Amino acid sequence: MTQGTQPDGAPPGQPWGVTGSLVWAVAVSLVLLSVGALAGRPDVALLGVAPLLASLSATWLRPRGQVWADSAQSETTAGVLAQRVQLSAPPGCTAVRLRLGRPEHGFSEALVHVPLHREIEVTARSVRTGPQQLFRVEHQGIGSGGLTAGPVGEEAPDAVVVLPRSRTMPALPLPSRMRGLTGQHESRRPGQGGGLRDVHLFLPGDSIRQVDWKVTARRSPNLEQLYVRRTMALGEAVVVLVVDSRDDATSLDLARQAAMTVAEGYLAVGDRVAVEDLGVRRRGLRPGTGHRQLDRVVQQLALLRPEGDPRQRIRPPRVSAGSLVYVFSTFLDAEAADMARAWRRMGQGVIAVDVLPNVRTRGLDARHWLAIRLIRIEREDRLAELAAAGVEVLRWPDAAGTTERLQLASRRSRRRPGRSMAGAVHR
Amino acid sequence: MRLWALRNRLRELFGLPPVPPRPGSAVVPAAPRVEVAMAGAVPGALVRLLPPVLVVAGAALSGATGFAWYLTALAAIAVTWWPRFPGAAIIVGFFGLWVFGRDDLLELDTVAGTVPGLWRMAALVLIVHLLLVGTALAAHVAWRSLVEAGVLLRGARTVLGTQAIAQSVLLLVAWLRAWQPVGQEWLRLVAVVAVVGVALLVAPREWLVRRPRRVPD
Repeated sequence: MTQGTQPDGAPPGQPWGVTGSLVWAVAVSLVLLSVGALAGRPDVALLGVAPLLASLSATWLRPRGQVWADSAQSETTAGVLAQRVQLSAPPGCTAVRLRLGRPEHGFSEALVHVPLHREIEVTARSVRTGPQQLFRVEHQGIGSGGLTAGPVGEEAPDAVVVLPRSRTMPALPLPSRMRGLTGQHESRRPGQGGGLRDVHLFLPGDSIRQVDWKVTARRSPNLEQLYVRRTMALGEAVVVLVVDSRDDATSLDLARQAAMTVAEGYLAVGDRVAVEDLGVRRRGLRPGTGHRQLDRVVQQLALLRPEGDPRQRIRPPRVSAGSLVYVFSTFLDAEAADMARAWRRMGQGVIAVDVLPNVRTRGLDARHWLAIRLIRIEREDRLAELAAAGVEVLRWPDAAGTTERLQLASRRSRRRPGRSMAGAVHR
Repeated sequence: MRLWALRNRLRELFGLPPVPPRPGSAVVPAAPRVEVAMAGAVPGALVRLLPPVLVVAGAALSGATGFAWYLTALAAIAVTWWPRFPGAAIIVGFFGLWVFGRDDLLELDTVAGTVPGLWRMAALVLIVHLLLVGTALAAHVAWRSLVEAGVLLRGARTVLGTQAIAQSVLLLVAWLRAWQPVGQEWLRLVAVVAVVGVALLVAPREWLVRRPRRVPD
């Protein structure tokens, strides 16, 4: 909670200062009254009566004390930042002048009525996610008729973490290999729970429940041999989300959204998701599954931010064998692309998600235009090299195109030799 | 500035939501603003535009002619753009000067037995008061800010209270002059003494008390 500071270091409890308007109103009123009285012109003198009365009442009813402001955090979601400002004004204060601002929104002013206590909801639309500052509140009490004013108080903005909001993604691709013996996806190993692998002669170790009696009756009517149905094992996918936190705020917002969408899609079907940050040299979030892992992933993504100028990586971060790696970056420099190619060479499935927003080139002069053309050419070459190396390249700002490409990749990843792809989607 | 941006600027001044750009146009929408939830807000531009209207109305009622209208225009601009500047008090002084330069507004029409300028005087008393209070309030209001209706209602209540007294004094003066049109010199003396008394009452006490002389370091 903050309070206004008295001007000139005056002790608290002093009456508020009068404005220049009040002093001038009193002076002019007295002149009019004097001239009217001396000249015997009551019409002139009467002009000064109302201003003098208003000034006197404003002076006598000057509030004492300060306006107090306290900020309470309201429910902040992606898209809308909200804060409740609680105001307490001393008796005699007719209004409080509020100046509320954020660096991205500029300042808004309002003159609000505060009958001793008041709570005001302040909101601002923002597409930014991650660590944010809420509103800076400056306040000043106004006395009767605006003729007196209190000291100006100020409250520093509160900090808040805005979690990213995901998109809906109908299908996501799977890695080439599954891990473990449980999960939602069919792996390529023989085991229990999956679809039909083949029909084979009964061998020692096979369960009697696996015997396919129809096939046995057809192929061996005298029951010399028993035939069993062998099935595939189930497994879970391991997906690593590699986010390049060195990008600027808008790209990082898109990267957070894209990574959260992908994480939600995989974790919803029981897969394991890990998070790595290319911008720092710390260990990332280990692979995990379930709702709590989703919370951890969202928190990790929300807290991503550029941290200084990290050293260039020689080797890519270690990921589990058979993982599917998503790289979220603007690819404006070579590091993220080099890492993606390195993972691809190691045999991992790699999907590069380009999170560079649509660039506004309006108003650029010739030099800037040339510079942006060169950067674009380099970037396009980098993305073409990635595609040539077998990396799936997606452009996240193109929502429809991304969804379509991911659906196609999903269908391809589920293709098994000799099987139809009808109805094979991720979820 | 494009027409779209100009239109949105005007709409913003009057508290209206911005119009989206036409599809396919290259304009960049402005950053969203911080919004304050208030009950019945009035655009600050309206509050800022009220004093110049009152200046013009006051000049017309006080009988401004010729060059006085140039002064009125200057004062209207001054109270619009620099409400902190004491332009309102100065123009009220000029109103008094113009009223002083004309016939007495409260003069009794002996034939009809009425005071023909009474309504005009009453309107002038109201406008002068509203002008000073409105300008003082406008000094705390930015062009793009919002003013809650409660603030204006409370201000109107204060103005009404003061006006009740001021208009009663006006009626009392008009009645006294109708009752005894001449020979009110004693009243003038009372008025002058009252003004001196009020001046002593209004002046801050620090101004009337001799300060101890500072000893040079």
